Amino acid sequence: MKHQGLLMLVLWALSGLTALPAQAHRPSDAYLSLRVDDTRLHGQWEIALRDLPALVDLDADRNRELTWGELSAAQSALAAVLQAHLALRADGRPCPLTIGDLLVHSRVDGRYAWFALEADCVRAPAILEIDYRLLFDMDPTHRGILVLTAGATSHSAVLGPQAEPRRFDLARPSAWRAFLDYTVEGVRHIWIGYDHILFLLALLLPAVLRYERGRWSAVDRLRPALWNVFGVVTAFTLAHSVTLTLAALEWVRLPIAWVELAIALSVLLAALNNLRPVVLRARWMVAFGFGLIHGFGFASVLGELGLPEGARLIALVAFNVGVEVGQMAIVLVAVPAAYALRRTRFYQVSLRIGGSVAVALLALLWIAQRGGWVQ
Amino acid sequence: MVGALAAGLGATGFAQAAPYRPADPAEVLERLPVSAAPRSLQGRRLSADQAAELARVFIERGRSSGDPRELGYAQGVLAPWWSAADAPDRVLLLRATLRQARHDFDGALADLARLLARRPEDAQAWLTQATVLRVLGRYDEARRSCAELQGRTEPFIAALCAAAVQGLHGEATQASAALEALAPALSGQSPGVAAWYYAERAELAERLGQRVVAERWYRQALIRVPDDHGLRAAYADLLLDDRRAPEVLALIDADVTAEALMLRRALALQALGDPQFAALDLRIRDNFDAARRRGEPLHLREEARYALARGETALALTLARQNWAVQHEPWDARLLLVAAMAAGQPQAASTVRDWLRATGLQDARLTHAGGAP
Repeated sequence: MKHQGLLMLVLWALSGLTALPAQAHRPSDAYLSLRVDDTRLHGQWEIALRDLPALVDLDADRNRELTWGELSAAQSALAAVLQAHLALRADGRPCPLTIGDLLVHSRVDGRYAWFALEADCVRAPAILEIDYRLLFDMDPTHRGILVLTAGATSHSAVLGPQAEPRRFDLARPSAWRAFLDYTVEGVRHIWIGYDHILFLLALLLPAVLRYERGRWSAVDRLRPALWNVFGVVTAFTLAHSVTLTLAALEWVRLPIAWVELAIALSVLLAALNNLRPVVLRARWMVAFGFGLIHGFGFASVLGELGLPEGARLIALVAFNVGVEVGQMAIVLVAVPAAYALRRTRFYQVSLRIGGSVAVALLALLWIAQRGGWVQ
Repeated sequence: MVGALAAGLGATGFAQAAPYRPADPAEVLERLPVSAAPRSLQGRRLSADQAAELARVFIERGRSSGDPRELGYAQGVLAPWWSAADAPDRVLLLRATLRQARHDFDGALADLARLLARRPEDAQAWLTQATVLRVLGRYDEARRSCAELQGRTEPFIAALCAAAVQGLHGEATQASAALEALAPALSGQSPGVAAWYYAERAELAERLGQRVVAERWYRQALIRVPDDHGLRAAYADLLLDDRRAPEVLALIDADVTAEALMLRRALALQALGDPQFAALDLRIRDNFDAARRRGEPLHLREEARYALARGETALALTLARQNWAVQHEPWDARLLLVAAMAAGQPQAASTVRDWLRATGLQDARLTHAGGAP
């Protein structure tokens, strides 16, 4: 026996691959995501299926294969274990935890059990304490990978077997800080939300052109072009500000799937209008009409971020300001370039036709995806 | 506009699959390990000897399954003694092994020193200490540890330990002769020890530039322990150096799960321009990301090597430097030399060149990499 132990250590030393040479699995990591929403916390907890046998007896038929039937049969036993190993406290007062739905999540490294979490605190936490104890008594190398989101800020941490619970300072950021954070989010959203940009650019593209008797030509002076741009941008801004506010304050609600589909449709129509104009002078009205829809789209992003308690109005205004700033930055780059290029064949033919066709095709793809016709 | 289009279309490709509710209760979600975690042990008080025996079983199981959880369970049963400086002998040895596996080399050496002060007759501890010192490139001390094995274990193992370190420590030719002289004693050895012997011969031959001979020894070793990941990885490295990527694919098949082997397979696929590379690349990078999220960079060597292969020279140099700060094996030296050259900063590897001069390490692979004296 002694000799065998020696061999084990020898083999470990082979070929210089000393660091966990045969590692064929990840170490035990669980993913805990929590979002603070006033006095409620919600999120999810994902635990590798390989870790579950350490928590409860799962494999009822002892064939060493875990089926969905076996996993769902163990749901309440697992929920009880999870509940016993995670404690949340808002400013020292416990937030009772509810373990909800059980789903399966395929990650790159294998499957995880996905549990929905909810916790109710007596008050909105300024200091949130997280006492995470899952698996540590058996596997001290287990880690909880935490992402905690409160308003526009997020904290991440690796939860290990230390004695003290982890404390997160969620004290509401100053109004100025909230304003800044939400402005940045607004800018970010307009820049990564291609559908909004493409809609706006498609409407602005003919602003430096004139359409008469079936022919396009460049405008001679800057003035009419600027009026065109001003009309479109102002109408779009006014419209989406109105609906963003209505939706963010939850005075009006629309199904998000419907909104996303309508946004894609607006991009398609704006692009087609550049190929065969139906609306010319009144493009600002199109910008206003569809701008109302885009506002609901912005609101859904803001809904995901959540409005910070006590700074709702500031955050809402800041997000809107961010959207406008991001939008103006794009306009200030696109319009001078368009004006400079307006007489070229590239602008009048390649970009107007080719660009609009490309945008229209992309919009069609979005429509198909958002309508659920293609994956 | 085209850029935005491409980005818009590209963005859809990265969407992570959402959690789902399987429709069929009979759907198999996971294959479970042989026996589960030590749940049944909870609440039971174990003696140090019982705990050490269980820990040894978990470590062995971890070695064959490749699941680092087993090492975690081993640490778990040792928990009552884990932070005790003065733990019982058997616990110290296992704790050193677990610490070494997590790259806590200083912690491992401290445990071994404490154990050997108490029990100088413990051959396992001397051998483990030689191994750790070897990983750190401290060949003088490693030689002394091997010398302590004499008279405390089988002569074959003591001689093999000594010859292997001698081969790294500037006396490659003499070591080669010493290993050759051990050949007649090989017949009585277990497959594991025989594989160790052949692996040392292969590694030494490779360093001496005798690639054909090295290959023969790798094959001999693999006959004894066909599933050993470390050995297969070392053989795959020889094949990759020789630009024999198709043979790497034959050695390491597509359903490989061991990270070290996955990496070699990916390098071979990349060399061949094989479309399977993309999927494997995603998995490997996801593994590296997960280790970084955990805050345990145990894969610096592999990560540096991978960055180098993908042409990320600045990143490769950073990683190779961090890796060199942790361990000093010939491959670590090679990576820092190559990464420094690739990044156009040969002076970044000057510590490697100093170390090569000090140890007298001979390695044909390093000469190519710009490590020639």
